[in-house]
Amino acid sequence: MHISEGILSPPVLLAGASLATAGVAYGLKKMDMESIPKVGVLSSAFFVATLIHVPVGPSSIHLVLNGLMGVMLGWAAFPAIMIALALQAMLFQYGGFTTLGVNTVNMAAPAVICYYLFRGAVRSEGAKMAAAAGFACGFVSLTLSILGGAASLLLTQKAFLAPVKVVLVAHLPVMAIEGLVTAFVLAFLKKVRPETVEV
Amino acid sequence: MKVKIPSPPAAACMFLVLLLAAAHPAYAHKMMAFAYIEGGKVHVEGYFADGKKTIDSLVEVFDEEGAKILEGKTGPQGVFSFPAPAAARLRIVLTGSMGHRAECFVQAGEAQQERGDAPARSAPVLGPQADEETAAGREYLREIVAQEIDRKLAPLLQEIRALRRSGPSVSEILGGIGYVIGIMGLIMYFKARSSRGS
Repeated sequence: MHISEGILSPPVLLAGASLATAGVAYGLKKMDMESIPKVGVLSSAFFVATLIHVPVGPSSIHLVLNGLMGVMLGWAAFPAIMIALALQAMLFQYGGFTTLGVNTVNMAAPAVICYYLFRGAVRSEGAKMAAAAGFACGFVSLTLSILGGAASLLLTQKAFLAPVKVVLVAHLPVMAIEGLVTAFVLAFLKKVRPETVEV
Repeated sequence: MKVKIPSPPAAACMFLVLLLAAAHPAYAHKMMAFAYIEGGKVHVEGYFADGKKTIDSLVEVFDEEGAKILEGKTGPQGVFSFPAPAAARLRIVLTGSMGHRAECFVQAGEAQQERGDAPARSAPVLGPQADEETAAGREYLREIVAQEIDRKLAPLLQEIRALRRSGPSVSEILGGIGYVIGIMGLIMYFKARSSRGS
């Protein structure tokens, strides 16, 4: 999902950059003083989670956590994700500055969508309901991110695309892991710091 | 005998382990490409940030003017080799799946050019016959020295490549987190100023 530089066509890059700018501006406006530390913590979590590959058995995975960010931050997920992506591009050449907008939109837009889809369910009293919503949140946000990445590539050049279905099926385990982690984190936070799950 | 049914948390853990075992290796990882010349051939290697080799990825080779010289695919070892062409500086682009792309440069022609030019420059002034003989001997010696150097440097190059493909270090990651904290401080500062102003 960190699409590298030099792949996407200028119109796609430009569209991504303008959408990301609008999202970040709105997110910054929506952010109040009390939520800033939370945005910082989740931005750091995203920065580390998408950077570190956990070797598991024969392969390795990394988390994205954008569903979690969406439910906890709402629109502030946009600035949080863009800051982390900019730092990754600067420090590690993950992604790049020209693709910063597209990558931000591909990860932050699903976060915001999940915020609207699942915020009620995640905050519900029933523990089972909240856990299920947390799982769905992580799962759906990653799915949408992959679809977003695929769409960006497809808009540039059809030849880039391995069949979307194959890509999605290959990522099913990672989506499920993302869902489980999101559900566990949300359940834990609801128990020890219920106010953090409120937006 | 009764079959023991695992408790829900244990079942969840088992499920997680099964999922992890099936996880796709090349998922959203940074990709890197390296090229080096060995024995008159250019070797291109690709890696993901976790050290996995990039298999069956497109390799394109461009010369200085940006014209494509050749293209190929990395083999099961993640390597693509081709005979070193005459162009001095090659740009090599490796394209993987899902928007991964890496570039690297290699000085291909330069080494060969030097080999060709050097005798003419430094040939001692002897008779024409002796000149021919020493030139042949010189060429032979040069070949041996080049081979020896290649052999001695191979482990060193291996090590450099291993260093370059290692992932982000702890200090870099901590530095990034520090930046995030700083940026949040800045946002707080500006928010506080604007709210005081209004």
